[in-house]
Amino acid sequence: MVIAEPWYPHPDSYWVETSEVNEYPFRYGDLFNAPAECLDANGDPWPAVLVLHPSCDLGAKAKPALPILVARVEAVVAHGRDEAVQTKIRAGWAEKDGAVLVAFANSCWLSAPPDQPAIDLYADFRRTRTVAFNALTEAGRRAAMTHDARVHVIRREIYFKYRWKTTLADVFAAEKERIGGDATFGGPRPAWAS
Amino acid sequence: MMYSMAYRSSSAVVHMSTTELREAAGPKLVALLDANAVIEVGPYGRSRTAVVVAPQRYDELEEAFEEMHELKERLLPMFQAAAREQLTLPSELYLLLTKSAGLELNSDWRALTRFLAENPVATTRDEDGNPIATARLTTSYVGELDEDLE
Repeated sequence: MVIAEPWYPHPDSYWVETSEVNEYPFRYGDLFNAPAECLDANGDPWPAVLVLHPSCDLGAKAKPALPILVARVEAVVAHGRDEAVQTKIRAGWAEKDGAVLVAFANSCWLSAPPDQPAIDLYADFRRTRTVAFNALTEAGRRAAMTHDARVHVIRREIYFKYRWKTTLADVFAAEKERIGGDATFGGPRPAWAS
Repeated sequence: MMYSMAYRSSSAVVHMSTTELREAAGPKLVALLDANAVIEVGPYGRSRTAVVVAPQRYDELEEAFEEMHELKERLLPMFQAAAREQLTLPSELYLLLTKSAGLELNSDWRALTRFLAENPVATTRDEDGNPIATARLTTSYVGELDEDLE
């Protein structure tokens, strides 16, 4: 069965409004400034990081030295003038010979965060590392991901890690069940899981 | 579609009479299908009455048909809508069509990603063009022990 679903949500629904961000505890999918130890091989600092760590370790279980998994984030336009690459990152797919292929499975497109609204980003699932929880929080959160966007990012990460395509409906249903069973869930709940 | 054309051109077609099929069907069919042949069944010199292919080939044909259906039903209308907004799409065919039409495309990422969210396509192949495994998730949340392995 062929199911047509976008890899990514509407760009205006990716991040929690700045005025509401403090209501949302740190979670998987949040965008942070890169801690100082996040460096490229040539010593350049990572532009930003996306949290890929289970949300529970960022909340009640958080400890200062707890290693938190993050992925490197950079601007889509970091690929210079190669608009074909940029377009594939933004779509997550590419049409070739009449078939629709996954494009750059290691990439996860991110809409522009509120503090830099003109520049869209992507996370690189291949370039990950851990950073101490306190180093992450000291670097500071730039944006909190919406629950809807998180479902899309989880689906994309499942595809990258296991090469399984799942349906959005299934990931929404799984996340709804998980939230429903989480007695310590903090912050506003998504309408689809209340 | 190009995929199904490639399939046809790379497959040997074996002609077999209905009598031959009836009398020696089993072993011969198995041997031919194991060799990935396409078997046309029918009286010699007359139009075929059936075509027999191995199950894997049949699956490939079905996938090719689905992709062709997807192209016709979803991609082409999507291309038309994108062309009206002069958006750039990650599509060889779209870029070919818009180039031949002399259409100037813009690089407004917000307009593009809005469009992509509202006009989804079915991704059916991996980065190398192979079919993708589709997983159905079923969940039954059981909670977890409130202890940590440090």
